[in-house]
Amino acid sequence: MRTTRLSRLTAAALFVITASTATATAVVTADAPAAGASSLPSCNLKALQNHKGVVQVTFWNSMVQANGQTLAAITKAFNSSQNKVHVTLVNQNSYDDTWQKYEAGLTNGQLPDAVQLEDQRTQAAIDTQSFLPVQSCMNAAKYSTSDYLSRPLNYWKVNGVQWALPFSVSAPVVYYNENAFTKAGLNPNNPPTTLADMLKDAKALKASGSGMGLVEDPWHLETWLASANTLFVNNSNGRKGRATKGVFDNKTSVSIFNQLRQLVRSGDATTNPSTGPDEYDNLLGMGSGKYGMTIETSAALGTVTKLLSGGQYSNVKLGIGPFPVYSSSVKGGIEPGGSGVYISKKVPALQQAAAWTYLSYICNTQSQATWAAGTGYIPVRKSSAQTATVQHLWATDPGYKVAYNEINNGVNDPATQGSIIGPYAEVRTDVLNAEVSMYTQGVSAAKAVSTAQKNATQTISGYNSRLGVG
Amino acid sequence: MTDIGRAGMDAEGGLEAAALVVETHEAEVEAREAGGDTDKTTGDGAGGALARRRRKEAALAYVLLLPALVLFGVFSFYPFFRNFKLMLYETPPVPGLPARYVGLHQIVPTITSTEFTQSLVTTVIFVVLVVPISLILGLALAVAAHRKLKGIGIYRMIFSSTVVSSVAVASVVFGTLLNPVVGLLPWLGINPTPPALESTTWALPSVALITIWQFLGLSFIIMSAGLQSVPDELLEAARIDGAGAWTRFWRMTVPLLSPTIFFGFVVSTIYAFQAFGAIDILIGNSNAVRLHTNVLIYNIVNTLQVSNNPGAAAIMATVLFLIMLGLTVLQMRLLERRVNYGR
Repeated sequence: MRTTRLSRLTAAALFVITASTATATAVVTADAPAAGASSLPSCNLKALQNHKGVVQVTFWNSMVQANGQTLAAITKAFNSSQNKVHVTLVNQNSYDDTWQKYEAGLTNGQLPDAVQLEDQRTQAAIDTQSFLPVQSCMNAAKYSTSDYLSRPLNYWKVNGVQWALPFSVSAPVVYYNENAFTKAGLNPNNPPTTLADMLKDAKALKASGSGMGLVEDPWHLETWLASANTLFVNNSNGRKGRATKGVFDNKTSVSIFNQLRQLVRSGDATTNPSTGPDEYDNLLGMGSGKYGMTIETSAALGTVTKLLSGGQYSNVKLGIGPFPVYSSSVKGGIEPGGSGVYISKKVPALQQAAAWTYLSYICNTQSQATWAAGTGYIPVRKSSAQTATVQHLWATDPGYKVAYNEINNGVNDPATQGSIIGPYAEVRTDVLNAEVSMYTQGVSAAKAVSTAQKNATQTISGYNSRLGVG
Repeated sequence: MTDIGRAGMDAEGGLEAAALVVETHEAEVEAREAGGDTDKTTGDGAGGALARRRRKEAALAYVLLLPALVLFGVFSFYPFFRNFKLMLYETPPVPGLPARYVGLHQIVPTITSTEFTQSLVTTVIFVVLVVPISLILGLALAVAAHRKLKGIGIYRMIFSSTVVSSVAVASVVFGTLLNPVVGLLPWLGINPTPPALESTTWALPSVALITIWQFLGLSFIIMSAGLQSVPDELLEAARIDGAGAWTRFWRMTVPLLSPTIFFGFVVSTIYAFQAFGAIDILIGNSNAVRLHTNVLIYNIVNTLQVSNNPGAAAIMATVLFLIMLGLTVLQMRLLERRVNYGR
């Protein structure tokens, strides 16, 4: 009796547990509207002009620390500058969280009027068919973009349509400790300008007791390729047509990977992951004196400066240098990174018009100047760069100008505008996995590059075929 | 043994209890039929009344069963069958767009993909790491705490306390202990490069360690309950016959405990197959594949949420279900034969 009872109970328990395991994945997929027409949807700005009363707009963003405070200040200024639109900021903490929440919103209907999305989500955002291209509102408002820096503007332009306004644009720069440079016998006013120089300096730093911190960032390869004016995916980096495969299995990529491999395998640089509990180790190591140099997005500059001004890192004299390009003899450019701001197509026309009013405000001359000064993002307008705010900032703290120059200078073509890929995040993971396999398992650079390209192509074709376009 | 069964699965215990209620009611009805209704002359009328009463009793039973059925229906049965439907559809990589019917065509590509096969291998290694260690440690602790000593209750509480600690807390604590800068390992002078949680070799054992620690409490409780049902007289008799402590443990306690060990084996296998929290918190989805910690359940969730591929996720979930079902049947058949239920 006991025997059967135990097994009956166990069997029943097992069934329930296994059944719930197997079905942890069940989701409800809502029906979507038919695909949009080839012409642009309209942006009805008159709806707002004719409306009496205040329109409430929610804006999902991912800005934290100094960046979040600056965005709040700009938004407050917008809300008090007029009485038609009131914007509420909803902070989703990180770009990934924002995107996941947005994807969930596509099925549960909880969507914002405007949203800030990371650079790598551009094609995926278009594929959701849930955004009103800002181009529509630009046409309706006869909005001029001539004041914008061309590469950031083009980053969010696909097939001639502007999908989002470039809002928080950054570029990777070198953060280095001038004191550590001096100690290593290097010129503290002369940070490395090429990849080869960076390796030499890292070696000198290591010999004098520090070294280099290298975060395992998935955009290493792309950024160095852009600096060598070399494409990452086909169809002009996905800008002339949908990208269907990686095209980076070439000598340039192998050379980039080989140098990074050497940098890490020699022990001159120590890596840390770009997510999880150790994601800021490269910056924290600068503070503790463990590292004399690292590469990080310029967007961290505001937060880092604020931390350093606290006085607890008296050993650090922060210097900022441009991203060390692939080679000084090849003319390329640093692709812009950061995020664009989008308008939802799933909200009423009134909300769309109100969202546009807000987005064009946070991208205007003065807002972009305030934004740049408070964060380390670059001002996306030439006129913002001329304002007293930015000129004063650059005079007192020249580090803030470095990323602006990177984005403003160099060649302007698809190779330097960055790629547009549907499963961009997954492709970057493919590339990162190959890169890290060199560091931890000693895989050769050539093998890592070919693995990366093979996996990236497989990821892209899987995405395209599920979308029904490949 | 039923106690253990209930402790393991409360909800199922509830269902069992409800079923018992039905049986009891039916028994009562039959008793009344046999005893009280003998003076009735017309058998037909009595039978009708009886049938009505039985129906009424059955209706009551179903009403009592309803809350449990609704819960299981919503959270288990409906999703379970819905899962099979999802397998037949290919969805676009972004949510909100209509799915396409593809029948069985995406099954083979999904289960032959390297991501999936690697994930399976990882899962097997993970289970092999977790199950034996957590059971042996649980038994060891249970034996250690199975004494009549002053204050032993405090130790029992400490040993079983991992049951009530959340996986998030446990992960953060272990993450801090393993941290290469401020953790316990560097303090002990152990500083592996790359750090344990960033190493392709040590990341999986590290998350297995957390899972073992988490399961230890339940393992301890199961083993303790089992030990308490081992009759002291038997052990006493063996001791008088001259059996030493080891002999008593191996020849008496372990065989008598075998149903409990068997139950713990099944439950811990299931637990290990479902480990998710520690991997998500300490490794993250962008590193899981590279660090070989992409266990099946984690791969399923990422396939669903990150790649937005419910079709493939449903297929993998079905494979997991079949593996668990197969394992369970196998364990029932093979192990039960060797299990000693004799008292």
